[in-house]
Amino acid sequence: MSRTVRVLVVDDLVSFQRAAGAVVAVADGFALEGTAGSGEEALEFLDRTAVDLVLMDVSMPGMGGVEASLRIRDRHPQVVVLLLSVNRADELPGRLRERGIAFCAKEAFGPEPLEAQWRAATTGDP
Amino acid sequence: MARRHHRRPMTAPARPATPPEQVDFLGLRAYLRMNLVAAMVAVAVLVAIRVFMVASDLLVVVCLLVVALCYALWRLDRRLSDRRVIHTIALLAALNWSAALAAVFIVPFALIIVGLVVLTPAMLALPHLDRARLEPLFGATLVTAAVVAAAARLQPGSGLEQLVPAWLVTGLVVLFVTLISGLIMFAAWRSHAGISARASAIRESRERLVAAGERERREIERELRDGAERRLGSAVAWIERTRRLVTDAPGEATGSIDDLIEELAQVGAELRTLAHGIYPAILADRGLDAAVRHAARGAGMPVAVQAHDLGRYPPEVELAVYRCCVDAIREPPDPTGDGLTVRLRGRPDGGLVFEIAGGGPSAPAGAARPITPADRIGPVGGHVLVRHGPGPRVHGEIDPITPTRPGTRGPASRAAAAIWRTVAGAWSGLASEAPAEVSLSGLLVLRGFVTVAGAFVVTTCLVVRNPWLGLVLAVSAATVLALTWSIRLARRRRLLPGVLVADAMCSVSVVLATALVPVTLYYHPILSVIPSLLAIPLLSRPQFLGVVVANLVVTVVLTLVGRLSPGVGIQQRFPAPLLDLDIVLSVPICTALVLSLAWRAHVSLSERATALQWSRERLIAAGDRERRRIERDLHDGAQQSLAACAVRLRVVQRLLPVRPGQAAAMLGELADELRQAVRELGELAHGLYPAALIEHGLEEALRRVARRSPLATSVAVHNVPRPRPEVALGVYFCCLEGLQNAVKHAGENATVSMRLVGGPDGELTFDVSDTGVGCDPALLGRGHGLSNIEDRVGALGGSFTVHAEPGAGVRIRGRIGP
Repeated sequence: MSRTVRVLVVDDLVSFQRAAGAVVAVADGFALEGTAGSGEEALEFLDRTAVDLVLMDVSMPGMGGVEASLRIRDRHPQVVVLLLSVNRADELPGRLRERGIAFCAKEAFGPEPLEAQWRAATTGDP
Repeated sequence: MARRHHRRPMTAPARPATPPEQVDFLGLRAYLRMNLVAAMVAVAVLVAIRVFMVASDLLVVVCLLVVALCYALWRLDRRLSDRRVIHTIALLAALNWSAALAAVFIVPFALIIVGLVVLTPAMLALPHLDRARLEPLFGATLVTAAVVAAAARLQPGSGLEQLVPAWLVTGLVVLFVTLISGLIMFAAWRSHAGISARASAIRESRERLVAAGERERREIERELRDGAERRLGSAVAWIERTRRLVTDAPGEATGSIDDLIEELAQVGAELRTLAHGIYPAILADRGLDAAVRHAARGAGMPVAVQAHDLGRYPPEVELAVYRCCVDAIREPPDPTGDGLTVRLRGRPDGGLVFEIAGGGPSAPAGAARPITPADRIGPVGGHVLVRHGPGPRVHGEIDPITPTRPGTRGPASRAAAAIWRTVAGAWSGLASEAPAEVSLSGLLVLRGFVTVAGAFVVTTCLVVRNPWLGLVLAVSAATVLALTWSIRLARRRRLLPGVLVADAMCSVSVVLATALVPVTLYYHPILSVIPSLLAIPLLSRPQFLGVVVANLVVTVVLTLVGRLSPGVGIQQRFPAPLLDLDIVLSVPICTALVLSLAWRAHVSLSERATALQWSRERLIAAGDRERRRIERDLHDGAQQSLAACAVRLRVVQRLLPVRPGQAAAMLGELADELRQAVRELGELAHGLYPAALIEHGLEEALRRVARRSPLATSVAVHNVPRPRPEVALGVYFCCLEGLQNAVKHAGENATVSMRLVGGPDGELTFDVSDTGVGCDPALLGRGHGLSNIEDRVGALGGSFTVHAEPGAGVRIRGRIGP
């Protein structure tokens, strides 16, 4: 864990972009690489910029977070995606976990959950 | 012919309620069976005549034809189902009319009976067919009446009736004329009763939906205010306290933040449950199956959900079915039952079937007028069968929305429809004075008809120098006078006495006229049905039975008089071709009168039912839209702010030991953000149900609205004690809507005045007028706001008008009964 984890925050609400940005700023070994307001913007951003972790809101205008996450996993399998939502996990389709997309309730998110989810994702991957 | 080529798909469920052979289809089946009995009686009579009186081979042929008719009727009865109603009516008309034509060719005097027979399919079809299908049927009925009358008069027939004893002919005529007159009256009654029952069912369902919608708004408002809004308000104070702790007692601050995060998580969960109850986002995202399973997990009893071949359906359909299921899931569980089973199944044709079985006692009685499954499913074009009692079961089906077939009607059908439209247009022209009141317009047309017919007979008497001129003149004049009197009564809103006066006088004069000129028996039986048709919309069932019995007695007397009276020599002096012409014209004219009356009654009633249905659909759609909006507002607003706050509190926790200054600053920002969230929640709750209305009453709530209005707005209230809550809310929203309308369209310098006036018996009138630029009344249309007012006022059983003139402002007035 020598390298800094580069993070992209995707959310259509600026208030949450700021909150997530603050979390990334205080967490150990993470740096905010950029923010995006929609799934489409996020995909464009990833084509241009290398990122290690994407924090993705579920409900956004356009293609939405679920679809965007699946596409990111298709195009950039090395990128870890963490879905965030104010809805409950059981309201999301079950196939996300199989595709290696983790979920965290928005109100439970913070520096510790971020670090823990990253650890789980990176130690789970060979 | 393949015996079962019209079988329903195997997957379609058997109807759980009445077996199909017992469904009456608004009298259609009863009519088919009576028709069959009548045909069988005819066979028996024909056989008896053949055996005992007349040894004619023609009788054998006729008998075989009637047997074939019997078989066809039996087949129609056996195969009648809701998908074959239109088909059955068309076949019935074809059978009836060909039998009628055959009858007058063989025995022309049968025109007395046949004139009525020709009418029956059209009368039976009224509640079953839409306007586009009724028009050609009515036109064809008229043409058939004319053809049958011409066939009866312009050819000699077989001479069979001369061979049969006169007493038997008279007996048969009396029997069949009475029977068929009765059938026509009952068909008209069933049609009226069927459509008005539909209208009142829709009206009641609309009232239940509005009441339930308002109850829900109030509950959501209360939950928002007493729950989330208050708790968030105290969370703001809590953050401020914590911020002071950061500098004064940093050790305690960490614990305080932990508690705050916990509190925000609870409020968030509360809001999430509330938002989900308002509109389940999962339904839109993942469909009916996932949403119902999700709801089932939170139920107080075991709920089994089975879904087969389920696809995605229009949002309103999914929402309606989902709500039906949730209503059942929320019922108190049945202490003895094994829980609830919800079955959802997609039909191969794109329709949707659902069944909810078991569970709690879905008793029809309830204090707060519960919403029924039919209330939910009806507006999206489905139907529901509910079985109450032990093991209640709801079975619903929603057909796929298929584009209505474009008019692929043939030229004959188009021509028939055009004939009918001409006749209906002529009626409207004659009775344009009172288009709304069917009975009154019927009286007006009837008077016109009697005047013309009376003048014709009087002229005839003068020409042929008949000594009975005085009596004819007196009867005609008395009838016209009686009708004039009944019209006056009807105009003074005493429709029933008016119609009964007309009924009595017309009966007397029709019998007298038949006695004087017996040949009019060919069309007078048709005429004598009219008064009872006029009375139908005004009568209760027992009253209607009384009128029918009286009219049938008149029919018997009329037929006997027509058969037995020698007349007074008017028809004998009349040239035969003119007499034929009179009958050939009068039969279709009388038929047109009866049909027009039935048409007007049907059109006005079914238009009312359709308007109610649209209004209910608009209310449902508006309710759904609003719930979706609230859910979105909560989801994107308060829930997100809350989540962001919780996240940043964890950041504060991390910063606290290393950079306390930055942590304190962030806490300050957080307090501001939460304050904003509290304000937004308050506005949302206010939009749902204005708290001022409950706390301070309608007048004060409107004054507050007026104070916030960008236009100068005055409020005047006279004699309005506390109205019922739903009336207060309805009037509040109507006034608000009217004010918003003025703000949008009246111009900057306009002033608005809102007036509420209470009547002596508890009625309430509201009036919103502005001094703005106004508009052309023709352009007014029914915009969104105005139809909102109309629906709301309608749901409270009131009425509403809009007056607009260019340069003179717009005035909206509504009246809500006690």
